[in-house]
Amino acid sequence: MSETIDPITLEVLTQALISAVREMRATVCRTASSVAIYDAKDFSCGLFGPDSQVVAQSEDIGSHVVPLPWSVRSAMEKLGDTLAPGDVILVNDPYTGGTHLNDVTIIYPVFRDGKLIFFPAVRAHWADVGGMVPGSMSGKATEIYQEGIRIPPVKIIEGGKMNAAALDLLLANMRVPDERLGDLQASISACRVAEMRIHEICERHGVAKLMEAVRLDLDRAEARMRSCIADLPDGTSYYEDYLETFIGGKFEPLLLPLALTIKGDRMIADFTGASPQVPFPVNSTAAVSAASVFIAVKSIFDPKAPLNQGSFRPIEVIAPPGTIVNVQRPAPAGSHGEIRKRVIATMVGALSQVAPDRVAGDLCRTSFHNLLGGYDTRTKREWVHYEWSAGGNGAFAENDGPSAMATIDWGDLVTVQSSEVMETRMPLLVDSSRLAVDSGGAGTTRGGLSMQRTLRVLAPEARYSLLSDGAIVPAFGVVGGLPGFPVGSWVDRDGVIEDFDTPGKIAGHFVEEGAAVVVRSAGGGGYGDPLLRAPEQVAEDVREGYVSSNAAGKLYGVVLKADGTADLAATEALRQRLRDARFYLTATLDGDVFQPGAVSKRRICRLNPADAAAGRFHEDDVVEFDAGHAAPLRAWLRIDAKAKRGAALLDEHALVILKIKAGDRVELRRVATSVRPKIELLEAAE
Amino acid sequence: MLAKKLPNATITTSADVLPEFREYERFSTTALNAYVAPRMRRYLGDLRGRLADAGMAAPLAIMTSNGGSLPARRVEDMPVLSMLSGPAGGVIAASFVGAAAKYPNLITCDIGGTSADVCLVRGGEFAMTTEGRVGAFPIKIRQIDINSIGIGGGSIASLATGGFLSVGPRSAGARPGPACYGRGGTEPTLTDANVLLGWLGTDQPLGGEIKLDRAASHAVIAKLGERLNLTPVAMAEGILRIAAVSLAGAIKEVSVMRGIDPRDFALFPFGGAGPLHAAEVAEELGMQTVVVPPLPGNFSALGLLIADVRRDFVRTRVSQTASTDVADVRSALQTLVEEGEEELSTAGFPQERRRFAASLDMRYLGQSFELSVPVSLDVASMKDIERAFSDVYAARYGAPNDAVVEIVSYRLAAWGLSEKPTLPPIERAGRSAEAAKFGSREAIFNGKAQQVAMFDRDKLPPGHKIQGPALIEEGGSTTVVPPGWSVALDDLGCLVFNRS
Repeated sequence: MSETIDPITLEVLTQALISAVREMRATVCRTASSVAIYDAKDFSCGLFGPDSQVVAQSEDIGSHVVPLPWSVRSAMEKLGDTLAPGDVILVNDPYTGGTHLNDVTIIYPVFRDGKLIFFPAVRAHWADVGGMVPGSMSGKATEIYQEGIRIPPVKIIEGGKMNAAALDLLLANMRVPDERLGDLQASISACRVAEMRIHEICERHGVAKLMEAVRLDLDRAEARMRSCIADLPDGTSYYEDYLETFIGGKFEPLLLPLALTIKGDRMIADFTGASPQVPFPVNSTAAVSAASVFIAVKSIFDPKAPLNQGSFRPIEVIAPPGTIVNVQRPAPAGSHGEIRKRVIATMVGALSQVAPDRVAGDLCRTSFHNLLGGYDTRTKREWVHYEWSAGGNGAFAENDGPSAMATIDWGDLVTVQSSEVMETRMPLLVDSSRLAVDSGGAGTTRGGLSMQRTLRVLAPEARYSLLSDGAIVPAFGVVGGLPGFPVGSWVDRDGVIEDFDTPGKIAGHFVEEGAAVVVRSAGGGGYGDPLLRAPEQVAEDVREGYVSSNAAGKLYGVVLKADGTADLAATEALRQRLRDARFYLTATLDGDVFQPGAVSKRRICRLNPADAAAGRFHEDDVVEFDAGHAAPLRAWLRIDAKAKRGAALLDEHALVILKIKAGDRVELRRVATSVRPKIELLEAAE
Repeated sequence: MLAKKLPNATITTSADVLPEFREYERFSTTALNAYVAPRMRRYLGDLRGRLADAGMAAPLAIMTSNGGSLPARRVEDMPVLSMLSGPAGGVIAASFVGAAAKYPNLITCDIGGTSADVCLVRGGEFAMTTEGRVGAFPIKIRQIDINSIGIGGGSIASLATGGFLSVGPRSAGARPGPACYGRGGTEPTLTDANVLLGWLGTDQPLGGEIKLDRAASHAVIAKLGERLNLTPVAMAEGILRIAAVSLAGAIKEVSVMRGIDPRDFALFPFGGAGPLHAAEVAEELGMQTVVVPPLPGNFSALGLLIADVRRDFVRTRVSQTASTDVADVRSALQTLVEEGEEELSTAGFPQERRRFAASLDMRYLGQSFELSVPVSLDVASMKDIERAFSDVYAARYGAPNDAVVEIVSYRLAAWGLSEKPTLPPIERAGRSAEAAKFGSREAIFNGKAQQVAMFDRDKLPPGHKIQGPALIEEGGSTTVVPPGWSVALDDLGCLVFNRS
């Protein structure tokens, strides 16, 4: 197939394919039954080649589209030989390229002259796919069977005829089957529209020319990405981060390590050493993990070019089976979004070592699923409010991080729900919705602020649940930037605060009428040393209410005059004092830096008791090592008399992460303390 | 009270601007109003003063985003109502001229220097929306549903890493402007492509002042073409083609993507560059008819003259249809009518020139966005309201279901009808085929250079059919008739294209 194509026709054909995908989107919006699909736009469309590569998409959700090729590939492996015109494939199986069971995918083969040329596909979040709770996703799931019905690739339409037996079986296992049938038909209609457009394009330009355009599109996207990667220095960088769980009421961080190798114009992301999978719905599939790597690379290096598989060809992802990044049967995968954010965080951490000017501070850590609801005996009605307030995004070299905004893996999802809409529907009074003061990580540029909402219960009683990460380990800053606030939630009874023992994991906590649940998403990480932020900018932040005057002094070293402007002389003096007061250790090579837990292990910082006293560190504090070159390295503090005085005990990987050598000076600072005074919560509640 | 304490402050309350629920959109709309109000008050006050000094007796009216107009004093308090009114004039004029010329179904395409605005007009009525934005800020007032895209005469053609060719949204603007302006522009623009192909003539200075330099256009396009291994002509045609595809894409968004077939509509181009590209865009979409109105370069001004005074009123009151009394619906609407009567009587409209239309924002319980459902002011029963909702829902989303239905907001549009001019048939005297044809110039179509006849639009007789390729010139605009199309002037002076 050596069809030649001029560059104008190439652009025209590229646009035609993207336009077909946009028309698919419009069709789904017009015809779907699930509110999450047509209102919240929780669906994505794409066009795939017969080799399972995504060739065109539009304003779709990265976390849907990017893993789709895995589903297409597994469908092809299973059914490819028998595919014929008139066949349509249905699949939602996470283990073979899916995300979670609610994301149901239609794959629609399009034939031309008897040859398979494209797969239009739609992945949409169905409101229910059966399982233990309405809506199918439950934080209490320990096996996938509790999360709904699992659909391996099946021909739901064969030779143009609906597979009635399969359809009956599926709908019998889902709540509100009529609505589900509507969702299915919406996806099929969207694919039919794409099929019609593809045939129109073929008639006008010829199939050979179209396929050649697709080939060139993939190749040039690949060339762009290769040139981005080739600009980076060769070598392996590392990073590690944690997923938060409680096992038997005890905090257990699950380790996610990354070794990122750059070799010429290729990149290899290796998650070997990741925690084994756990019987909670926080595991993710290999497809989601790889897609998260791609989302990070594409967002950091080439956000402008249209998305297709070509961009991802130079990237290889290694996710060992049976771990939290490559879940195997029967572990659940309902809340895979948490791993997605953690994979992106490790990519940001590793890339901060090779391209510090291109990355941003860590984003807000979690999808932050809050549920508040119950049975209202007055209206005799069940009610559930689902709150997913967006958090702060990381600061970057050029600017402060955006506050309370959807993160890069979320696409164009609605992130701040209208208080007035909530109040008209739920027995809730929204006392306040605000950006949380000081929640953005301090830095030369500041991390985005998180959102804080106070929800007062107006029904006789309610239950509050939270499934969230980032409640203990906050978003990290980069090149000397500080962390943002972690996720927080508490009950406020006229100023009396009730805190939770298992932050981020709360199941059905009783809340009586008149009490208020306060939820606060996580803030974004800062970028650069906060003592270098322009004093006037800090003064402006204080005037605007983004930063408290207390934090302006403590974190930024800025002294304000009575009129609110910065006192430059006093600021310079205070900044010098703060610099002098930073707690430094000497990097010392040591192999004993991890401590095993119930399923995983965590990095520890063994510190001499005299050092702990001098730096006022406590046992089990979450701390970070930082040399200001890249992202900091997190660890849990262990006071150890055997540790050498003044030494930071670090292994080889740690030195690479911090970009230092043994003998160099490294700062140690506290990120979260195990001794959490209640007063901190009161301050947060204001 | 505040006004008494702070006599110089501009006070804007959200209850005046947008008494509707959803706090963010309401706040944003109100804040934007407060932000521009002092400036608008100063400016309009000054303008009114100077017009009065100049002896102008007619009251000053300002175009509003909903396709109506309001007395200037009203807009001084409520400038947010006029913030997105820029492209509205053209749409109003298009629906007016379109209806007179027997094309009630049309898609407007207003191409200027940096952007193009498209809007769907069906049965003489233009589509409305409440989802507007200024920059990042939502403005939730009723406005004409116009889709804008960054394609205009100044749009720059450029090549990104990997060989991605794009036209717009980056624009050379008026300065430096296209290379052919000779003001220091070094990147090829859409206008340069038109000049190189001879679609745009260089004999007449543009707008009477800018002499176009064809050699300059040739140089910048040739340079871009070299990088893609294309001749200058192929490059220029490619730029036009990509622009046409983008424009067609913008039109698909307001038609195909809403389940409407653009082939049932006439394309209605105006703005300086509209008639240059219309045929190509129509071809891209398979549209059979193009109607170029008289004076396309200044067409929007006509809209200002004929716009009715219009004010939209809204009130939010959420209730389920099953537990709502139809009398309450009528009385809620009646309250809005009273507000409308007051507004129109202040503006000096007698009873017989007032018109009202009511609608309800409705949804199924659980949905978070509403559909606008037209209802009559004396609606007889809740059944009628529910049926009207099902019909609107079915038209937009397909089969309705039997879920619980909610009324969210009550809306009223109040018009003070202006006196419209009638469009007289054009004068035939002095027009003839011979008089119209004033020469030819070299122009390139489908890669072939040829001598193409030029016609003076003002001298064309109605009904005289011209086969493409042809160029029809008038002050401020050139209409390009490519091969495969024919064109004739109708009785009202519109140039009507048909495929030959």
